[in-house]
Amino acid sequence: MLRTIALLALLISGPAWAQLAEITCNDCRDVYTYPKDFGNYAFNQVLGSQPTVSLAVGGRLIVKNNQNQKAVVDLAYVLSSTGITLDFGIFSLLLPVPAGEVQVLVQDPRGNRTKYFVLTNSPDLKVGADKPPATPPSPTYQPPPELMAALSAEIALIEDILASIEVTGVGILDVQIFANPVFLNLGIISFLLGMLGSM
Amino acid sequence: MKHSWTILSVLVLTAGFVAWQLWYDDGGSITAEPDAQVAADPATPVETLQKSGSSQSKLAKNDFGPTVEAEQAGATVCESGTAFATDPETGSVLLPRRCVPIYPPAPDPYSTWDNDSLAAAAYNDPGAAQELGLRLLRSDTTEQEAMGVALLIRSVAISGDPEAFRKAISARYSETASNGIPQIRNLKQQLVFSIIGRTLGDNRFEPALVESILLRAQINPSEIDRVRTNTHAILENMASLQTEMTGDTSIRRALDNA
Repeated sequence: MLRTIALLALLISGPAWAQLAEITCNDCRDVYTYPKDFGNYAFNQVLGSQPTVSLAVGGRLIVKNNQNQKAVVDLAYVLSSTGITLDFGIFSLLLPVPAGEVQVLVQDPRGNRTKYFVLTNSPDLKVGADKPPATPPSPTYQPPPELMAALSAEIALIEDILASIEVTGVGILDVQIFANPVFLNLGIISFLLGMLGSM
Repeated sequence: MKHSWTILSVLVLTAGFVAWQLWYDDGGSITAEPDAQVAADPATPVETLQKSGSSQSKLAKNDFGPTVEAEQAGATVCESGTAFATDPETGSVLLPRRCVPIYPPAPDPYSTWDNDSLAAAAYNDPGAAQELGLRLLRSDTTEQEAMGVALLIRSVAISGDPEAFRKAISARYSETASNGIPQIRNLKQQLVFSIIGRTLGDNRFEPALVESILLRAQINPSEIDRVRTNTHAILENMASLQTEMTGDTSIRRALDNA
């Protein structure tokens, strides 16, 4: 009976996992030069300020631009290794929880992969080129002296912050565990199914 | 007895996941794509899925007539198609719906100003300071980047609204790692913005999260202390600047309560 319930749960989860939405990004530039346009657009559609795609299908998306170039974008939560531990007496179950970061993986039609991370609650990410005239001033641009004088204290503090980067060891960002929301769901149900089967 | 509790717990967990999944399936209705360019082409049906109960958009329950997304900032008129479409991969039936904005979003007035005009107004105009700051921080030189951040800080100090920091994160500092390499500069700058934003009462900023990522990237903890110390000095300057420019003491009060 229990096994049947768990199996049903697994089957119900299936169709949601199978859906793959295709979305059109009008501002995305050439996929081989600017793959992050596609990743950022997917992030904005799923986790941005005005999401149009639910998380149930948003784990993997196809994003295409006006030139009909397509990229597959995977959004996956970074999971905290210190999740919630459920203690059942005879065994304990560690439920990993999202750690506040999302991995964005963009794969272009040639198979090149671009991987980067952003915070889950990031503001909408930049897609496409800067709109003129909002282009950076020339490298030699200097604001008027009176404005520079007003900003000097903050400039010194910010430059001090950005000046040195001292790392004590090799970063461990590559060995985190990830989960598409739907895969996370399936994974835990599969685990429960296996556990029930062993009873 | 112990065994029964285990079975009961597993049942509750399974039921929870099934309910969660069903909840998403319920929310799989087709709603508007707020994309004027796509919507302008009637031959291009837009098919997206939206979670039900989302605060972003509440459509009137009328599948066959124009509906207005009144609760969305950029209100749109949406009209359902008369034919259904089928997703070739899943076989799911989708209802195309096209949306056209009622009013196109107003352009930011400062975006058309040249740099000199912005610089002339930036001393006491938070909008001008923000626009020039956002332009400068895209620069490749650290000096101009710091100038840009300083202008954003000035903008936030005068307006009391840390939204400019979120725009800065979006423009330059959003990535925490790229192809396996931690982006320490981005993270440090995000930490500065997060500490200030949270102190000003915006809970979308999460300094503890940024700090934990920095520690995971194995940055020397003394560097985090330095960021905190400098940020506190920046906040002190912001409080003084706000009082001097506007007479408001909200940053000072927030700082005292932090």
